[in-house]
Amino acid sequence: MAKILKSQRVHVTVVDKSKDVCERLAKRLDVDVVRGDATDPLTLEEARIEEAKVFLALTGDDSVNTISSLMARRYGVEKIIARIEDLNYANVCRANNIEVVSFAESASLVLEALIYHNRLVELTSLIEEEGLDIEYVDYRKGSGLPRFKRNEAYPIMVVRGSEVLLPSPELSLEDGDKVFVIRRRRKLFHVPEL
Amino acid sequence: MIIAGGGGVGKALARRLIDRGEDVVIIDKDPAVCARLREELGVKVVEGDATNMEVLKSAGVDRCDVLLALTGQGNVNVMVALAATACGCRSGRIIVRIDDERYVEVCHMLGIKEVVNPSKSAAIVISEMVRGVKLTTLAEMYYRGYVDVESVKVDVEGHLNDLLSKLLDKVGGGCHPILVLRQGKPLLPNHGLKLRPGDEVVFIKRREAP
Repeated sequence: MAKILKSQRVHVTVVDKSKDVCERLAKRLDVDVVRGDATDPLTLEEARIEEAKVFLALTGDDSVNTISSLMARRYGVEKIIARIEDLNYANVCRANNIEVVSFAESASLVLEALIYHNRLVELTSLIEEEGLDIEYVDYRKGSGLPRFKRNEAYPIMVVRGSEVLLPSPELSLEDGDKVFVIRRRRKLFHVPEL
Repeated sequence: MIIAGGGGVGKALARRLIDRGEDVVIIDKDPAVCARLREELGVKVVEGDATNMEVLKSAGVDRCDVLLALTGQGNVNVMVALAATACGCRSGRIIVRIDDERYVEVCHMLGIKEVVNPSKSAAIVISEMVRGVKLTTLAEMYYRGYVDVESVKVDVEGHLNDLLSKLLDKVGGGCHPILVLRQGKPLLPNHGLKLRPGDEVVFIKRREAP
């Protein structure tokens, strides 16, 4: 995850309690590392959690991920995603507006796509690995398709409710339409100069 | 379909396959895990070591469509794949879970072509989530038949703009180019892009909502 975020030119700080992991990540990925327990306020503060736009809790322990995510909520982080395998913990997280991702579910999603040749998922994986991203943009009535600088992004489809429409110059967008685009990986968030 | 390894990944996949009405058999060596799987999923569970050919045979490996080796240990999964091939799972596909990237090379050398890395899968799902896209939504659109993906190999050189109408004739109506694959690498299909012979143009095809 740190690797993908680095390629999106996001400022990444990794918190891990293992000295070896911290040293390896600092050396290989050129990310900031803070060695410590992610449920310890001092550790989170050392990682400057108050300035974080996104908090990802990805340890192998559901309770650590839940607690540290709830703490991140208190520190005012906007977007929080926790890796949770257990349904009870998942419910606690969701009740606190924390997005939940399961390692086993993600793997089975990709496995299912492989078994049934879901080319949309296969392409997404390929795109992710090759420095492109799929994003979507919400559109308002009357606006045309978004225009991008050449070679920067490309609209692939428009989802209106449960219907899929193909992008074309004639297409007039409506409230709530989602325009999916493939775009060259760019800086994901604006990080203020320190 | 046979799943070797009834842990988190195996169980989550079994659920998806059962929902699709597939005939699923799970192999696990832990009796407690086996009992829980039988109770929770109501599937056939074979208790035993999936690297053992007899165990694989009793799970029906010689007539399965897909064998998935999904234990938490890469070396065990490779052994399961080799044992399955040795006892006649020749027509079926074999998909192996590998957590350590270095093992992928080993798999390819041993002729195991389909490999999945759960950490990488999760990273892709999370990366999409950070940007507000749900991979499950994209997956569902495909499964439910709203969209299909088709591709055409190009045998001449020229700008995408000039070749597009000919390519569209080949894939039929309701298509829109979304990507060009050049030696497996994706390129954005902007109209000025110059295509080379061997390039594959990938189209998204709209279907009527079922």
